[in-house]
Amino acid sequence: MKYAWLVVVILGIAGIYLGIQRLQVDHAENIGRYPCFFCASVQPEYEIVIFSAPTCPGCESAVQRIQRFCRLTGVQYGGAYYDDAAISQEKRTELGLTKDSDFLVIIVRRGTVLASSTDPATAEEFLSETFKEVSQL
Amino acid sequence: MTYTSTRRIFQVVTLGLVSTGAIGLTFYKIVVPFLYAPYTYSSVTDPMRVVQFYAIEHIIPWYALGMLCIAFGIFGRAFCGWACPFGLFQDILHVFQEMDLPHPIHKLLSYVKYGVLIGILAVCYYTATPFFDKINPFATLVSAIPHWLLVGFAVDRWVIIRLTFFFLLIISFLFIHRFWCRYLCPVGAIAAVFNKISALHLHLNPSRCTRCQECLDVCPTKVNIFDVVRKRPTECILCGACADACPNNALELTFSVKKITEPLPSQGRQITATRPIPPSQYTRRDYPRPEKKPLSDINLRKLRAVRGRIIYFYEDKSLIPPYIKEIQTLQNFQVWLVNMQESVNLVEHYRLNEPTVFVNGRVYTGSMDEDTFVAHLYSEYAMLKQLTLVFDTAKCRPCRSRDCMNVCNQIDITFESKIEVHPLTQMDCFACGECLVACKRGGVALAYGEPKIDFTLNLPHLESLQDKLLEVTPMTVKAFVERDSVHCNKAITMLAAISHLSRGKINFELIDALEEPERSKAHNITVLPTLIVGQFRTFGVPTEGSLILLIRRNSRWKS
Repeated sequence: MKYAWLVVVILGIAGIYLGIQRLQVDHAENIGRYPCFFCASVQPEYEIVIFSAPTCPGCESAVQRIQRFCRLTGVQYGGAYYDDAAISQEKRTELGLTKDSDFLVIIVRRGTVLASSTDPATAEEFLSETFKEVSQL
Repeated sequence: MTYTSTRRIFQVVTLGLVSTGAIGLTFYKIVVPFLYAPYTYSSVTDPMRVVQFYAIEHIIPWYALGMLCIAFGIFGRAFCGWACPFGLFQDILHVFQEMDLPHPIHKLLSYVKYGVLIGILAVCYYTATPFFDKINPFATLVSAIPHWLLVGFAVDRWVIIRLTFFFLLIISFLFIHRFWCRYLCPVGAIAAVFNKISALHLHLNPSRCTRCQECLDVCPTKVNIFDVVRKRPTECILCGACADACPNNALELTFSVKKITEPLPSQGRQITATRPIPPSQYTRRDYPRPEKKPLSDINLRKLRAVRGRIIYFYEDKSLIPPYIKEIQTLQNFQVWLVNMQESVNLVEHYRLNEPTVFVNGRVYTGSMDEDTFVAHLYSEYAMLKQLTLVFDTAKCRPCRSRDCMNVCNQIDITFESKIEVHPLTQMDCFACGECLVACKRGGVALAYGEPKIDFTLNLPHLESLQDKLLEVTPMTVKAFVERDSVHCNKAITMLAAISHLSRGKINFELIDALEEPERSKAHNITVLPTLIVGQFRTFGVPTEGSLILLIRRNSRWKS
């Protein structure tokens, strides 16, 4: 029992190693950055809509990360629209948007576009910062 | 510098470090090992949030668990005591320091936090909602309340639940130190498991400990500090308050397993093998002899099982046997030491001429050596355990004066049956007989076994003879009785009434003739009940007058 704590520390190091392999370090960092609507007892009235080109590098990963963001924070996920589908153009017209990039993520509140970003790599950061700002979290 | 002042500095520094989001510095890769919640200026990651989110996604949070394992493996629950901002908040709010929960409730509630942790994980797993964020009290404090104050809020079910829970906790913090940490914190529940093996631990040096219990009084989590040598307490938050309070410096927080470092008898000199010395050169050494205890262990054990009331009338305090003073310290005994010179009224009331001992309101006539006296207390309680106080509610119902209740606050007649039976030991009754005499309708009686009370005492006759009873010398009447007998019950009731009227001078000892055949044979008992009054005896139930006559005759015979 004298050195049981050392075994636990080694297990902890192994846990961190496994976490790094599974990209959980970045995930933990994101969770720390995500806005916490439940913590402040705020009901998120936002919807996230994604427009993406089918062959865009990094877009599919960004879509998955945004889906996870919505699941964990409680923000409504409005769906991902791919440019090769006719419905995508209809949705853009409905929201008053024009296509000028391969990737576009927008925050919609009661039919109004609050903010948008075209960078798939920093989509979550954009969403986190924007939500914190508009919700005063 | 004391542990407490160092700890306060650490708590404030930690609070500053986890709030550096205000100046743009964030350390979100760090999952902190204490209760936390995201808020405007937060700069680290909340462990419960990570664990919840992974539970929602049905994935094991290797990274977060790895960090917690390292932190708790090295420091145990020290983060609760030294770093947790919510712990600091509780420390500040604990105003009424004298109050705490009783130990059994504390013990029971200590397990609740494990249930909270499992419950949170289960709810997250099955409902895919970060449930704990909705009620996290630290989030309420640093995120919800500031948000409500700045932006306003819409009242919904969760807001009401959250506020109610938070304000109940606030009230508990005022009275019970670290209520959240001790009973509810899910992060504390994870840390508590590691407390058993953590490198940092509380060390007690038994050679310095005088068991003064100063440490127990200051411990915020009510840990039995003396147990730390044998087992590591899971509840200890390693705050060091006990070490600060210890007058002999017997306690310390340490990472190493300490050995006793008292100076050795050799004082560092090398000890070599020598030839054995002859017995004539043996040096005599006086070993301290154990002090004689005022009450032997056997008697103490006996007395712990019984209850009683003792009144000791003394003239010279130094002549009081030491075991009487020892009995005075026992919680199950009420002992009054009465100075005869000072309490003249009492002496006059009992008509005492010499030092006298009353046990359960009746004079004790036996030897005052310890074993005999303890045996008497033991047999007296054994007798009381067998007896019941019986109320004939047919007689009680029309009674408006309730004299029995007026003289004794232990009596509570419920009128639920025709004959109401109250065991004496349940109602803290020592069969003093006052209620028997107070009831002029004859509705109260003592019974041994079945409550057969088909009789009425001739109380007016007894009361008319009270003056004569007060003149007799103290004595003990032996009553040979049997269970479930109406005649025996009458004899017992009569003896209790006479005992009360004589102001305790007449004591009585009940002997079950069937359970103690040797004693019955020794006294040649042929009829039950038989009352033996010194040299005289009755056959069957005596009348009130004849019994008092025998008592007076025996008193004269003795004198």
